Amino acid sequence: MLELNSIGFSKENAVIPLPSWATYLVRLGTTVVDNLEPGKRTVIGVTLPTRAYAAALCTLGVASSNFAATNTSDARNHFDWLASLPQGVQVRYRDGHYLKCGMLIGAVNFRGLDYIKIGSDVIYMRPWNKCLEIQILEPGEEFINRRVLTANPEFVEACAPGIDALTRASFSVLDAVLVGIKSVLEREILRENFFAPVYASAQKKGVLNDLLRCDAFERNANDHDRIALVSASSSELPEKLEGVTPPAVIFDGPLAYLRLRRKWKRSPLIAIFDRTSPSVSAATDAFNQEYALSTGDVDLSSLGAPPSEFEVVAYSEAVR
Amino acid sequence: MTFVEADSVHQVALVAAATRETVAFPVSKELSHFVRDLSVLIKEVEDDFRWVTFIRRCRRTLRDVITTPLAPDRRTFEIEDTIDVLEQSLDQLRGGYPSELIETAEYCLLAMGEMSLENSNPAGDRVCEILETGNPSDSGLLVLTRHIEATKSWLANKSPGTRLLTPPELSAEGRLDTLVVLGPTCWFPTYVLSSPRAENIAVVHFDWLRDRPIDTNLLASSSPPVGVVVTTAYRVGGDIPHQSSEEFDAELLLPRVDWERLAKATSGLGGSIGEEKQFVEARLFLLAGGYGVYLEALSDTSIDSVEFEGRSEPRLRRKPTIDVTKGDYVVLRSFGGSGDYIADIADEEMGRRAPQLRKLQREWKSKLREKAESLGVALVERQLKGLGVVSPHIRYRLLRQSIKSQKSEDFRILMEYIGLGDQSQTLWAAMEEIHGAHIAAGQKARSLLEAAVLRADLTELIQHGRINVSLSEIDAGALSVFRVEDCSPNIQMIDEDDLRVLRQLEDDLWQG
Repeated sequence: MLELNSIGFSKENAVIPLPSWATYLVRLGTTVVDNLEPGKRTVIGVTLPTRAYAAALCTLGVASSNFAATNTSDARNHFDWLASLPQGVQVRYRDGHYLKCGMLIGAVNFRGLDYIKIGSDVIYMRPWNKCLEIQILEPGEEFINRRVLTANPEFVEACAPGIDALTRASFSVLDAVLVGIKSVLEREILRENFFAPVYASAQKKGVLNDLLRCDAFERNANDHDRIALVSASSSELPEKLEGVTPPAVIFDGPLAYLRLRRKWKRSPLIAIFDRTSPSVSAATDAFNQEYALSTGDVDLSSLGAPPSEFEVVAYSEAVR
Repeated sequence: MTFVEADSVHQVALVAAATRETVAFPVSKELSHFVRDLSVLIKEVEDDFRWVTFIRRCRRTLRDVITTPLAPDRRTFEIEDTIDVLEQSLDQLRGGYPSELIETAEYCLLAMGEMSLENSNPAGDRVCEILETGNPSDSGLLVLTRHIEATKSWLANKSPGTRLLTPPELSAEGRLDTLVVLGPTCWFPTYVLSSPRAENIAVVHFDWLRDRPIDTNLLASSSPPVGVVVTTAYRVGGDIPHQSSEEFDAELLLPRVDWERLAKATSGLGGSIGEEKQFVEARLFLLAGGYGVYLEALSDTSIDSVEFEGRSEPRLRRKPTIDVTKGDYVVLRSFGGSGDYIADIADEEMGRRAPQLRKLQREWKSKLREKAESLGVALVERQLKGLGVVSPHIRYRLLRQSIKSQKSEDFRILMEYIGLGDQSQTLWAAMEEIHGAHIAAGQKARSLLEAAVLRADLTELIQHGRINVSLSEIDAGALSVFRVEDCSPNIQMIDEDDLRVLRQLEDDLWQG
């Protein structure tokens, strides 16, 4: 799990822990996916004095709930799926610190253990319980022989002790959809440095994207990503998200919420409302109307009182 | 915004405090007294627009003095000109109305005359005293004044380095030490108090104005109030004021937009002669600088808009006109033609073929109009649906900017329905050509416009609500980006020629 207390930022030449407003937003993100009730979803609205970093931090909270050991039942299902694919399908997989591509040969059983066999520069065999990271190349994706998996595994592991950053970087999964303005989020997610562990002498420096792995900010076209960024100004979803129910959707700002909230009717939502935005009244009016039709409030008291500059409302509603 | 800057915005919200500092200014109080009396008396004669104009100008003068930190004898206020106009108006009204009404109006003019000679500036003086307590480079003066340039000069002289801010600029600010808010808080957007940008906020206004507490919460919950409460009352040269009947409710002085009269004054101005009129559902928008424009209240029409939420770089976007709202920035042609500039650029693209192609477009629309007028839009839509057209959108199809349906089959059915079935293929090909020219024109204009907007001075756009952009590469006329200040609650039927035509509005109709 993410160790929030170990993450810090630089202020006046010193690294200090994240402020309480930031840690609250991360925990809010984790809560929205951790407290799932069958047939219902949680919707959270937050108003604050500035939207800066709020959606990125909530997204980090959502993503951090997946900072956990691999589930072996998922691994078995994934192996079975790979075994069912036709021979010759192009796949990518992790090999140490590197990502490689190869041709799927098929499933084999060797001394009682199931393996997936891949042909690349050499024949490569991977046991069934370590196959989760093997993925089919997406249409148009470049077939590469070898490249570094992730630029900054040390920072990820310093933020989330016990996590294997390379494994985490070696397969794609949709942790959340973040709806916002790319150029604004790029500044926050890709360019702002954070540090971990806060009080260690040898701190690792990194950016939020090392932890989030946003598809919009990939270094390479075939990097494995975990967060899909959707433009707040688009009216249609990218093809790969059509019909998909993400684990959570985070709206960065009133416009994003007003335009795209109806695209996801089953996913938990977090809406960030900057009180200085010209469209905040329209967005909070819409939120309040939907709150009035909800099935009840969601108790967030386990998170403690929100920072006094926040207004937070959480409700649950039946999924349609 | 860096993380440290974001953190400081949160930190300032935790420690911010606001004080109210009321200032005595007898000449303005006297005027306010008579304006209030006249406002009551005038209710019985509101059908006479001369009285409505009279009281609106009085209120506007008062508002100018409240919102501008300058002595009233400054030429900027043009109080003497206002008095001249109102005296002439009052001369016409004498004899036809009760003496009490006439006398009160005369007192208003007398008080206004006294004020026009007043060279003291107590609110401005108090603003300076407060600003002197802080570092000018970390201080700001928040104003709503119409006289922004005169105020800027005054501030640069009195407190060099202090920033003059309008509400849209404040939202982009990081952290300030001191912010002076000139005028009652209920005139400002809620975020001035709900998302404070300064540790020390001083609200300065005249002592005869009664401010209203603002509800800073936006979500329907029992959360404690967010932001700062203006708690401490302080009066320059006097006691803490108690609520009294002498006070003037600040909300009564807010500018009122007279949508009904604006609608009457602005429709039918762009009218073409000798052509069939097409009426369309539209909404009137009030733009920065006292301009107005009608935009279609239809779901199929869109307009270029500039977005820069969250301190992002400005982005150009096509926005459905039905979604345009207060605070948006829209692109309009301010000179060199009217309506949709894309159509004119497309005509240039089509060259000599344009007249013939446009003629064909007019022909089928004319036939459709005849049908709609004889049967009614609802029946035509029903019948077309029965024939297999999923979304006939007849009101939109009748507009010049609608060129063709998405599917050729829908177009063929429509042409057959209006009696042009034999020309359906020719018309479709012609409309495809126009459509292609519109797409090319739109892309070209938008890419140039985006580059021009990126080059433009956004500070000016945020402060004044308007900038001009020049696209010398194409003949689109002069374009301007305007901030939408308000929009009419009513939808009216407008001549198509009146759409997107920029018009200067009479001050009395929106600054009442």
